[in-house]
Amino acid sequence: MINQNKTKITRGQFFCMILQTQIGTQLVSLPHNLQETAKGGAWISSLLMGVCIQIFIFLFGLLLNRFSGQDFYQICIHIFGKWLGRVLCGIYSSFFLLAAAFTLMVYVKIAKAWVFPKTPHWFLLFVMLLTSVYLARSSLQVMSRVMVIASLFLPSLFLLVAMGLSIANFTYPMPFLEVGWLKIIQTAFLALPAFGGFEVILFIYPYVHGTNKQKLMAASLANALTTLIYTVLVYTSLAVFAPEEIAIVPEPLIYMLKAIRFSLVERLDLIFLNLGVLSSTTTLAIYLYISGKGLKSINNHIAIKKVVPIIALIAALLTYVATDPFSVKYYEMKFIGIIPVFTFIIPVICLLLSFFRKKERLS
Amino acid sequence: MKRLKLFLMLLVLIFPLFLLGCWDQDQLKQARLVYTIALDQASGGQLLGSFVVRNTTSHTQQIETNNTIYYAKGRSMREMSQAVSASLNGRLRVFKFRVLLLSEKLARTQDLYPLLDSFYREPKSPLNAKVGIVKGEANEVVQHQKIGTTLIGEYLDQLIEGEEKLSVISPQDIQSICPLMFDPGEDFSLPYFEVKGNEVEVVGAAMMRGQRMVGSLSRVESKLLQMMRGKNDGTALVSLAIPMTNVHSAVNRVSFEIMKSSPEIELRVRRNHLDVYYKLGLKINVKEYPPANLDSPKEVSKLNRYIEKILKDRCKHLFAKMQKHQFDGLGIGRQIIAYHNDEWKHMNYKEVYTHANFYPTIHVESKGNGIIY
Amino acid sequence: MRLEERINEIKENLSNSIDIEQRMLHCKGQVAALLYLKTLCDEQKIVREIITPLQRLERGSPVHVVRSVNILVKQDVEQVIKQLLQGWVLLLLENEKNNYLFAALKEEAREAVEPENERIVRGPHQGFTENILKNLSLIRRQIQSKHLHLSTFYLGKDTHTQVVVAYMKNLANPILIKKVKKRITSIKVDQLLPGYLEEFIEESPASPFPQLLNTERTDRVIANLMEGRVAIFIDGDPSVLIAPVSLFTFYQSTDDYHSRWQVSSFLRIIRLISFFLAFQLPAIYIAMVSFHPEMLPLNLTYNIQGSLRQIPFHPLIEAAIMELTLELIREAGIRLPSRVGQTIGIVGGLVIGDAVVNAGYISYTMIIIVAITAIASFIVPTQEMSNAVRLLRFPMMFAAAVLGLVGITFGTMILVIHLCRLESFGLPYFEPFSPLRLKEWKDAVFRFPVWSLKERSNQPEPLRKKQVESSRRWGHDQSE
Repeated sequence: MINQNKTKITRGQFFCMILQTQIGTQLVSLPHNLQETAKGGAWISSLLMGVCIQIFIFLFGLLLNRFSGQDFYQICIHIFGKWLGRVLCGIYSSFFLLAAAFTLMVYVKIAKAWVFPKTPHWFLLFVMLLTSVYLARSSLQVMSRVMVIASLFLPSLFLLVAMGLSIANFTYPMPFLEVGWLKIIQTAFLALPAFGGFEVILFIYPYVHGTNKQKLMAASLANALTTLIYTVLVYTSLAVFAPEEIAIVPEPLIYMLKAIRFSLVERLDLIFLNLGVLSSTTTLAIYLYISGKGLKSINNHIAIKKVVPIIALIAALLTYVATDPFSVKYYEMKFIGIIPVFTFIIPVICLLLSFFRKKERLS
Repeated sequence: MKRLKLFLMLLVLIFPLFLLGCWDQDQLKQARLVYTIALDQASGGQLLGSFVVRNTTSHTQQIETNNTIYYAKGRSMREMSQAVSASLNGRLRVFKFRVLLLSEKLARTQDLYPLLDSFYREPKSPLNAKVGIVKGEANEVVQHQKIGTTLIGEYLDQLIEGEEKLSVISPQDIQSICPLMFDPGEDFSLPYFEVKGNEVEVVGAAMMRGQRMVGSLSRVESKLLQMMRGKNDGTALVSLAIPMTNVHSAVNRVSFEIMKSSPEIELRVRRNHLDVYYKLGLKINVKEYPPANLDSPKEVSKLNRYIEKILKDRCKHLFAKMQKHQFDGLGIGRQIIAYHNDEWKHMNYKEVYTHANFYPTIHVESKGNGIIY
Repeated sequence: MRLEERINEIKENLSNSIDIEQRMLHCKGQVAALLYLKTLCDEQKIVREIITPLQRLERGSPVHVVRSVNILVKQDVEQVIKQLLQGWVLLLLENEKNNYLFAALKEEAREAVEPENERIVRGPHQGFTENILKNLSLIRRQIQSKHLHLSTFYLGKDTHTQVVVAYMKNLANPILIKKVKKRITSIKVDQLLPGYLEEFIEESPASPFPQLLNTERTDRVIANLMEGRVAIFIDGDPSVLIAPVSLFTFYQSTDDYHSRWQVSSFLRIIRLISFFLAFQLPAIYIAMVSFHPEMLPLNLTYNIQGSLRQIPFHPLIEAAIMELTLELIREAGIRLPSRVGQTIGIVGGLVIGDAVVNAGYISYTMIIIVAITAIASFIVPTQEMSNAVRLLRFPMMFAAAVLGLVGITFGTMILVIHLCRLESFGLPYFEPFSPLRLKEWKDAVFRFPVWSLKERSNQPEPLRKKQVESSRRWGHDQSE
């Protein structure tokens, strides 16, 4: 490593990086959001979303393998030409800026509701950005190392599940198919912000050691683990809360922990909240980094280190659009609408175009 | 650039000094901790709350604690706590709150959830606090200050915990009753206290239908309910009279500990008609049996059959009582929602429940007899 | 030039210092002059090995008769001066242009006793001295390998301090060696005092963590050399610098390899826990009593509340006062002779501690917390790391006082990110954790039996990884 190219990361680090981007603060309100429309079938919705994303990960793999060694920004420029490609890079960069702003918004919302009702908005943003900008200014390699360490805390999520199951009533989520398959499938899309983050594969993939197959495997495993964790957590909270009760609890996962009394520490929810802070910091750092990378691909003279604080500042200002939980929810719904465009539609268009281009060249 | 960096770093380091004591601090030093709250009905639809605040004072090495009771009237929890704050030095905090007592009158006429809403809403509130119903006035209990050498709040807390361990009452706290209050398919019971002279006793359980109290169960009934729910693994001790073998002895009881109770409920649901086939498997450990003749398998099975017979009658009896109060302590409605959802949607459950047929079968197995037969 | 003039020129160059000794003698029938610094040279040696043979010399070169180990012949005055300053004797002959230089340095080495600040219970009680040659000989004697390589640098325009870089040629990564040498040669200062070198060659001056290991123990240096690390000896300094290091190097003590592996593993884990306790405990306490008192168990809440009632300060101020007092006591104790030092300990620890509680300034709980923290920070086997950890707890306490537990989380995250970014000579500082190498926890976090540590630590990226071949085959040998 002393001599190696410092921009490449290992497959294990890649795995943890996707995991950390996917698992974020949105997790805590996932059961509530899904249960609203899917009732007892909420866990099926989350499972379906995982499967759907898996399919797209394979499509991403197809696209990235056609342009080996290039990340999605470079692919865009390659396919759409210099001008249109750069515009697309700019749009993607601002999409990640939005995603960062959205992560911040949710973090502030939860922090305010659960621990800091009186602490001003700007201060909560300040500490979060201080940490994540510090992380995002590091090299990809350092970032991935931090992700690995952050992932060491993931098993505690299973501990959370185990504790939830000890007070669960398994008849609460039943019958699973109360609202019918159609609604369950529709609801799956509400899980998108919580699953969001897998799209970073498009941007990190070329910087990973290993063969295409191994890399795809790592990405799929990360998604599979996320899906498993989400599904189990959703199911657990469905079983802990009565259907009528979960409707009034916006963050069931944290709420569940409040009820458990330990001899050494009470209020386990606070400890869990700290884990949430950890994972939203890592998520945020990756979004900031990739957004900065987008700007760099527009103009090679821009240093990621220098633009990241500026992007962070813009994201912070954007969060002032919604400072109370009700408007956060409103914008969340709006944001869900644009996610598929960037994570599903544009990459697939690129894939199709790349097939088309090749045929053109052959004829 | 370097200088700017240094400046920023200094700022970050020195910044916190100015923020001390700001915003969301919650100093333990200033907190006046409420241990117990007793709620009664006051005139004019108001509530009368008795807040037991525990004081701790330390004289160099030893720590002394004592209670102070503050009374307040109001129309909600928050109103009352505001009224208490008016006469309190320090901040009234509920985060170490352990027991909430309601008078029976209040519990019968007032929905429970509105009283508890502020607890559910506040992130710092202790959701593991216990709720109990008091026969008569609730503030009579807290007026005792001390029972023996133990302060009243702690006493109640320990009392409830002990009774839960003996499976006399079902272990419930503010959080665990929340889904049950909302759930149309299951009801819950709360500990039922009575003041007897200088003592406070758990006399049984209060049946809560939805959010209101509808009746009470005796200690024996409540224990039986726990057994029927399959929730009394461990130390539930049951004593039954046995047929006279020795006429001269006044002590003729068999006592046994329930090691494991595994209920199975099978339902036959037709529109507006419900048959409950209830099967209970019990594994028991004999603790007291004066005839002392369990050395032969025949005697053991005779004892088992005898216990089965008595318990079956009692179960039937208890179920009838619960039906009378439309109290679904076994969560039968829950089973219907989960497994017979279509029928559930078209039935008036409470009505059907009252007229349900109950067919219990009980199977007892003696698994232990102590160190003699 | 005449002999007189040459002598004067040399004396001029040495600022006419009073310790310049001049001895005139006859040799080969001509006048000769010996010049040396008597503060540096061994005069008996000069008489025995230089003067006596020279006086008997009839013809030929003095080089052939003088019994010194080292002999140089130089023309350049500058170089002559350099050698004189290193304890050489200069011979000037009236009719010869050559300057003859003979080594006659006074050997002034103290015994290689156990270093005061790195005591161990079992294992060799031997430490380095201020004499670099003696130090190098200690190493040479114990690594009898042709691969042990030493290279010398002289640093400091005025002090001209000798610095020796030692490494195993077959183990140490050449890129690492190149880096070390490059950093050392680019030092340009007037004086290089022993403690300076570290600050010149470390990577991140802003970091509170030491990026080179400072040790006076011979066995430690040897063990690190055998891991493919580089040791830097400085003349006049008994402590040797070792690079590159990881955080965990600081938490390993040579004791560990002298007791049973279960015990050592246990102790290592205790040390790692102490690492967290030392900077987290006061912060956690502050967060608990001023932000999240609801997290404390029921009875503890009332106990702590009882002891806090009378305290006039905010918990942060309370903690800061106590921590600073502790640092004062510590600092006072170091400088004083050991007997007075004990008194300081008693006055500081017992009298102040007790009085401050009785007066109601500080709560009992705080005293307990501060005491545990102090002990946890003293557990660290190396002084620099212990200091770094003690420093860290102040920002952590601030963070806790501002945002409670969440503040601690942010603080810890910044710390972890910092550790992940930190590099020691281009190699990751937080190695077996980041990058994560569970295999290496065998020797970094725990201590597995030596025969099971088949491979060297990857942190210094050694050329050869295997260090233990299967050495316990006799266990499978039926014919034994």
